[in-house]
Amino acid sequence: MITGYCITTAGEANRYLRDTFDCLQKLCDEVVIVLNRAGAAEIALVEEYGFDSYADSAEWGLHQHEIKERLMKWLSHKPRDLMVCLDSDEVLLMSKKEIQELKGDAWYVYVMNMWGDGWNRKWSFWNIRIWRWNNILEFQHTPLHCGLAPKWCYEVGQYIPVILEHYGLMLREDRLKKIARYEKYDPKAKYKDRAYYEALKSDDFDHINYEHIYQALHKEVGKCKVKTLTTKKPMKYIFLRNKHGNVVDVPEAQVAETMKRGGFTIVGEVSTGKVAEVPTIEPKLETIERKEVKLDPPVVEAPVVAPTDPVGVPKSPLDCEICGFTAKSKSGLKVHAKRHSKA
Amino acid sequence: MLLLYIGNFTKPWCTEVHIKASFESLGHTVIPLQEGKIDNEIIFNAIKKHNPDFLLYTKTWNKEYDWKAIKRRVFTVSWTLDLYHNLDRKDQLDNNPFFHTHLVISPDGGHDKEFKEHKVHHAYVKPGVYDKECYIGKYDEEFDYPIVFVGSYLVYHKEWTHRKALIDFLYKTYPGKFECFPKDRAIRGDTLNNLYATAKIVVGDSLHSPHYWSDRLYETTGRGGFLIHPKVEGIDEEFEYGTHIVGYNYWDFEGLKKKIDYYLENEKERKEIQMAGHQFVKENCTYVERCKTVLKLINDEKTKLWGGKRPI
Repeated sequence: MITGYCITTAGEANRYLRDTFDCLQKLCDEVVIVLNRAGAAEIALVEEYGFDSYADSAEWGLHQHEIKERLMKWLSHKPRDLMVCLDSDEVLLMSKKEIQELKGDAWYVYVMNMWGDGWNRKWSFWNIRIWRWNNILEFQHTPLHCGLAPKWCYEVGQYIPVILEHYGLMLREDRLKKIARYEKYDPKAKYKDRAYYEALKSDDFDHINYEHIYQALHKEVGKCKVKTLTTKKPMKYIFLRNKHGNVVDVPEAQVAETMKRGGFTIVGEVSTGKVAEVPTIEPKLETIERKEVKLDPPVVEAPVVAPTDPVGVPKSPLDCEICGFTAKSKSGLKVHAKRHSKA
Repeated sequence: MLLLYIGNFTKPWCTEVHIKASFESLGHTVIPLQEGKIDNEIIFNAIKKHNPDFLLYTKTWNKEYDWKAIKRRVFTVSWTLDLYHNLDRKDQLDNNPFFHTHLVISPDGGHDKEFKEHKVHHAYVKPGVYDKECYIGKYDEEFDYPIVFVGSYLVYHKEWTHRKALIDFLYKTYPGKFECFPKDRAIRGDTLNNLYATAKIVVGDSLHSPHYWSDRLYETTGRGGFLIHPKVEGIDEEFEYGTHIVGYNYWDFEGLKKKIDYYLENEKERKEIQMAGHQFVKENCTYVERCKTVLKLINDEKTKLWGGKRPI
């Protein structure tokens, strides 16, 4: 069972939302959309695709992690397995079967930032877009860059050679809007290096060659070694019975929050074999940047050359005057001429 | 394979109809999308419904399609039979989305460097002729002229002065024996084959560009005409002068006259070339053959660009 989720806002329906929805529809058995101050067009699109949805109107730039944690709570009303999370301008180049065959708990994919007529290597990076539900649903508590998946995923994620196309920065005007947004919400570059923001101003792009990129990713993934666990902490789960009589297992840390929702009674507890892992994963973006994705030479304006007279194949003394055949030698021409009745 | 095809399918003589039939004769499924009657929504839905191997696009006047979105959904291929370099319309190489699909196919084999400079992912495929139209027509008195020219002659690219000079020369040199067609109505179907079967000599012209020539070369020979055509770099890689067609040098009108006069006088030799050219084109240069080439190019390019992996 694969569950997809996406948080969308007003104006996205006229951009890349249909691409994202197509992708989620293809990959997931069930999809939930959070309408964060979304407009009628987004709502209509959600209805068209038949996805579940609900509204959360908190301000995105200030309360991202809260919006996402509320989504996790919404999702936790029933058992989940594999989760696919996408922004409203992303397309994951992967098949459902490939996702189903993944082994592990969370997976980094390569976010390929589409840029002008190509992509931008310097702005492309790894990020979690697939993870396995385990009831640990806390997000990083920052107003920006808090990820689309719970915090733990970023610690245990494995790297897979899969491309996620991100279209949100493809157009220059969108990049300028993003700069303005960061200036508003992160004027001191507290959450990301300033160079990250500065790079948005460049219109330079790299040409897309999927074959080269996949080759680079395969090599890179081979290098990314997840070290053995440095800490192991057994997780304690509490069994709760809800008002319908169903028993659910909830991580101990979330029991209090769950109980607040009402209708739950504690029926038992268990320690599972699941562990919180703190691996060291290396290297990340930097090594991808070193990949030799060959670029075409710089564009040179071709001179305009009007046809001048005479043009075409120049006349040659070895041309047959009758049919235009060009012989390789004088003797060849003589032999050729015999075919013409009156040559 | 299954392909979506944007173009004009309203008339039986449209090239799109011929190319569609040629793909189908190779066992592929073609879903036509009629230009002027489609929008982004229809294209997106067709892609979703049919999950095509590629989308083929023949140049239309509608530039409103969201090509960036289409390209994210399907491998896109443009196919034109026209020349763009060195003409007024060359600006379209930069501005028209037609030239920014994943693969652009054209009969211009002489501007690889320039295509690259314009960031056009170009592949050279020679023009062709519809196999069903490759047959010898019947005599028709209307076309009983020793020498004819078939094609645009009143209005043509202003950059190409050779055509007007050629036609002026032929009218002046062969009064009453030379005529241009079409005159007051379009000539298509059986009538065009009848024209080629009746007129003794067809003088051709093609806007000069190395390794480019008009599809009329294939149409004239494939549909049974005897053709004297300008010598363009590359033609002799496919045809043999004196065997399939006769060649003349651009602007060498005296040389052309010599050839015309010779072949008017030597009917047997003319007929041999006429039939050999017809047979050669029928067997080797139809759109069925071109479609085979195009499919191979698409497969190669798709593997190269997408690593054999379908993005969506």
